[in-house]
Amino acid sequence: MAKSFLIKRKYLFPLMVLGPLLVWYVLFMYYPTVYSIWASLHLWVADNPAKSTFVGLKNYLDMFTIDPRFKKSLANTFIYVLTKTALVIPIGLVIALLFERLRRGTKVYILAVFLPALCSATAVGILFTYLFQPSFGLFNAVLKTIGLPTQPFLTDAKQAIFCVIATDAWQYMGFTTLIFFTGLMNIPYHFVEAARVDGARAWRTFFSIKLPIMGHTLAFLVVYTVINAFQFFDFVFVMTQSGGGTGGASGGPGYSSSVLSLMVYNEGMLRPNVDKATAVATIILAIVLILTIVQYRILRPKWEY
Amino acid sequence: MSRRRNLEAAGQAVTHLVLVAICLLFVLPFAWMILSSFKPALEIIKIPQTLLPRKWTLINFSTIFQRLQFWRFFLNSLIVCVSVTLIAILSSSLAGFVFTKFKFAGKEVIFIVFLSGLMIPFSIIVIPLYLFISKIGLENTYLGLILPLCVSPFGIFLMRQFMEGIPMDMIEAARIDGASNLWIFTRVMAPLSTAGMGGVGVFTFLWTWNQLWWPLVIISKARMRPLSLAVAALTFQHAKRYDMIVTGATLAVIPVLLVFIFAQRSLIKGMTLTGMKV
Repeated sequence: MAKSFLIKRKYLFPLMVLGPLLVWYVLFMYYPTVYSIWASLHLWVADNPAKSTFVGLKNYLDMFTIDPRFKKSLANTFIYVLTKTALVIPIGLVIALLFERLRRGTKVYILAVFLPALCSATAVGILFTYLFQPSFGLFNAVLKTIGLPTQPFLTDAKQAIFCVIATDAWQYMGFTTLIFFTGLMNIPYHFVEAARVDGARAWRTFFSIKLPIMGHTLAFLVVYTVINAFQFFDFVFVMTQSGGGTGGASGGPGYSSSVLSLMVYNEGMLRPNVDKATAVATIILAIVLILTIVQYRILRPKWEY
Repeated sequence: MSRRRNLEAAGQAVTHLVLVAICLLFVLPFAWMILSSFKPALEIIKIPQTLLPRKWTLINFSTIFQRLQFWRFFLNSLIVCVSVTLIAILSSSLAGFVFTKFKFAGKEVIFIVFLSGLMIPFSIIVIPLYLFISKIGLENTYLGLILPLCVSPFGIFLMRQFMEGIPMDMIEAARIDGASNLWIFTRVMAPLSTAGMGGVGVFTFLWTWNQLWWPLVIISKARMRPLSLAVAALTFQHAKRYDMIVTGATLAVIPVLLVFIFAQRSLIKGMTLTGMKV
């Protein structure tokens, strides 16, 4: 009797803490996720969702076959992910290597590079919309000064998405630099010293010692950046708002700079076209889940040093 | 030998020069933005532009605060961010306590359920969440803004890592003395993990301050907008008013700069320890 009371008392506290948290997770994460997947398989009825009819993969097939917006968004998302990763990984690594060479003053430089990473995408996006402004923006002023032709930037269907990517990469760079720098600092000193004593040059030390040891950091950053870029919304929403004077939905001019996450918002909230929006969202979820599994596989350490 | 030292000194100087140039690329746009918010409206769209205002003015700030009521958006953001941060710190540290100092069946499973919240993209939950929150009548309310943001999977993970290091002996000793769990939490666990709580706090505050998508969806009344949404709204309501847009963006960045200045140490430490972006 006394014992069972003690056991109950022992479980009471964890239950009181984890119970409400579990309720929160079900209500605000797992139920919405399941609901989205469910809605994407139905012909969704706004007035009475319970009356929606099951249509299988029809919403997905429709998008892949007849929806030019979806195809453009999908293509843009891949361009976005690839270009951003290709920019932030090598440049971040180069800046980190420069930091590593320094004897003193590293902290000030880190703070400067890192500052944009803390600011909101909204503020940074707006700042760059101002800098990209074709007639009085800073970038065209610079182009004019060095004698190059001015550009339409965000108002041009071909350039808009790349302007957004450049802005995102600029903000994200401090993050990759910091992670690479920490990785470089964690390399045991005697490894590098041994190579130096053996007469290895700087580039040889980098490719034969530093880079292999940093493989783990590099893999983490690549996968993390890719996952992050796949679901990003804020920059495209803020920067392409009034692009080309199309008004209303972001992703302009026309839908030339739309990405998958923006499509979820435009279809689901503005039209509203819930079944289509949730189908796009489910595709994003699937991609992110696959990448997370890949990340988990890669990141299990294979060896120690 | 001295030739080698000279070479090294020259190398250092070159590295510094290159880095100064790189850092300018990151700092200059901010300087440009902040300085522009002190320019009169006509100067902002004038060609050619100058870095320093030709005529310094505070008129943009007085317009944005008085006519566009930005004080209200500041207040909204503050209410939401402080609430979310406090709830996140409390729930994360309580969960950390339970996950590290209690033994019961299914503990690991529950932790994985919590942790997997990190990989669910917001795009998959946003529409059902909107339908649900508006159905229970919380559209355009602080509570509606706060509820879906106030538990932090990342915070729970961080606090569990942090509290792992607190010796179990201390808890056992307190239990033998007849201390209640709540007493142990407030008198032993919490004081020993203030650094971890501070980290979770700074991260959650910045993350909430920078939120755009959820406010955009759930807030349709102008006066309930948090600052980030109000600033974004400038671009579609006053698209040609670059004086207002630039000043709004400056206002959104200033609190972040303050947090950055006062909490840079724990921020950078947290970033490098966990490899997470705000």
